[in-house]
Amino acid sequence: MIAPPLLTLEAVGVTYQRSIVALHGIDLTVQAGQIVAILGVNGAGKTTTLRAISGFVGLDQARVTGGCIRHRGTAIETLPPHLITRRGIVLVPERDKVFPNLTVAENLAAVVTAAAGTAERRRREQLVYEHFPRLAARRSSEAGLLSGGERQMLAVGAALLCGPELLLIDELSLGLAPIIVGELGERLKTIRSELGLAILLVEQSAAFALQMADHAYVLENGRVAAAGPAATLAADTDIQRYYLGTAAGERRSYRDGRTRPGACQ
Amino acid sequence: MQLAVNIVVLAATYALIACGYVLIYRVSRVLNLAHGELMMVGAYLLVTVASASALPPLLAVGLAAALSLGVGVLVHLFLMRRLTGQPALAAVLTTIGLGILLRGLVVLLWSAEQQHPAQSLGLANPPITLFGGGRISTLSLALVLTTGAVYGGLFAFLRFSRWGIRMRAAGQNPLLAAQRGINLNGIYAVAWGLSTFTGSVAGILIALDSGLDTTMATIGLKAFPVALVGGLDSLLGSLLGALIVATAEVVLIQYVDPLLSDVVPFLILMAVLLARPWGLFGSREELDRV
Repeated sequence: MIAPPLLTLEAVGVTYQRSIVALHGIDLTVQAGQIVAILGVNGAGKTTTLRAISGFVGLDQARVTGGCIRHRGTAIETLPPHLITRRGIVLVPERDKVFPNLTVAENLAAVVTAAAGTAERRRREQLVYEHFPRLAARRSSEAGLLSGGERQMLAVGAALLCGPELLLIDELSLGLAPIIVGELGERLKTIRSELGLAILLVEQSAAFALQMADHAYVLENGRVAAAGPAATLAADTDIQRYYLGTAAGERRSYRDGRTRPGACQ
Repeated sequence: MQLAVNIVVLAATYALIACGYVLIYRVSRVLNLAHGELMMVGAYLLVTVASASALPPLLAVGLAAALSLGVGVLVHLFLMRRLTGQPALAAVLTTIGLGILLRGLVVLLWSAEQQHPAQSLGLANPPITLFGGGRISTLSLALVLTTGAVYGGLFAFLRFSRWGIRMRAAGQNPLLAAQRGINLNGIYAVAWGLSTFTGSVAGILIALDSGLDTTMATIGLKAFPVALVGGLDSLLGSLLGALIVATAEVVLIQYVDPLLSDVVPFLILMAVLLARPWGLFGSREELDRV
């Protein structure tokens, strides 16, 4: 018998405030050790997909209304976020990813590592500071005072401390200088192969995501519009043009679209 | 000198009660308007402990305070937990309802008569003369020292202990806290337990000093302006707020009219809300939630 995949989404639907449907049945699989990217324009449902996997709290006014999310075969869509984290599925959110009034060290100290002992916890902290030496230098400064890149490092570090086997990363590249994004991407790949992690990446920057990922899904209006190996998607000009907004060779500004005859009306 | 002693004692009382408001607000953004009633329940628990057992006074006080901690946890488990995710206003209104319920229950269970737990415990309360000539009753001195210990303990707990850091984290961003593996309901239960515990310790010491009836809830309500003046999410603020309100109250009672005593905290509250609505030490961005 084949072991069930690390994570599967089967026809998952999500509704906000009981009426706004954000996802209309998403199917998605992440195998152990894989990097999978979810691409799509604003409002396509990328972030909602990650949030559905990592669990909603009452504050969100959102819930999974259909389908099933399985972690190694066990349904997890009704679990609260802290139990999903303890199963090893850990989110690095897009905004508000650190506790701004806590210091870097306190941000890490707040993480609950229920199953791991003190020695294991110390080992993981060591690992975080090794991979992100800039965090070690700023250990006692408040997280709110960190630069965007440092904040992203802290968010990834705190997530690593949770002992993940699947890291969900929402917009790693958002608001960061390209050189920092490249650095973070390389660092993540190293960590991935060291710890044998799987990563599910949500990105607006298709170029960066397709270069990181093994496999990718393109979402549109809460549905999967295209899926396949990252290399295939990267080579597919139709997909590039229609969903990712970067036609190979030609570059369009939004003005072209606006003045095109018959575009609207 | 006596004036200064009175101010310090009143400030310590207010501060000890006010930190309960701050704890719960800081962690869960809920204003607990039943705090006065919960602190009264703690004091009545001492009445029961004192009459049901022959424990030495210190143990009886400890037992009653420990029971009140349990009361706070139960309030969260059976009431507030069901409100997580609802608008903060719903939670605040629920605490008002809880307060009314508790006031009724206290009369039913313990009668409306004034109680004197100090007598049933056989506790003497001799005045102590301080070096400056001021006099302070033993229990008032105990109250001042307790307030100091509670604040010291809370500061250390929130600053250095892992649970304290998690409480601060949950207060800043509950969703992220949950995503970092923190069980929010556990954190909220601890906050309610601690808040009721500190409030009840204040209630118990007041009851030992000057007797106990259902008007004790009003003292709790008078400490609410103290917490607001200081800024609802700041412990340091509630210490300072307690000092300001107590000074104004004692001075006005002394030189103007004793009847002003119940009005002063709320007058100061209005003045602060007009000038600095987020309180002296509160976070400014919390304004939209008040």
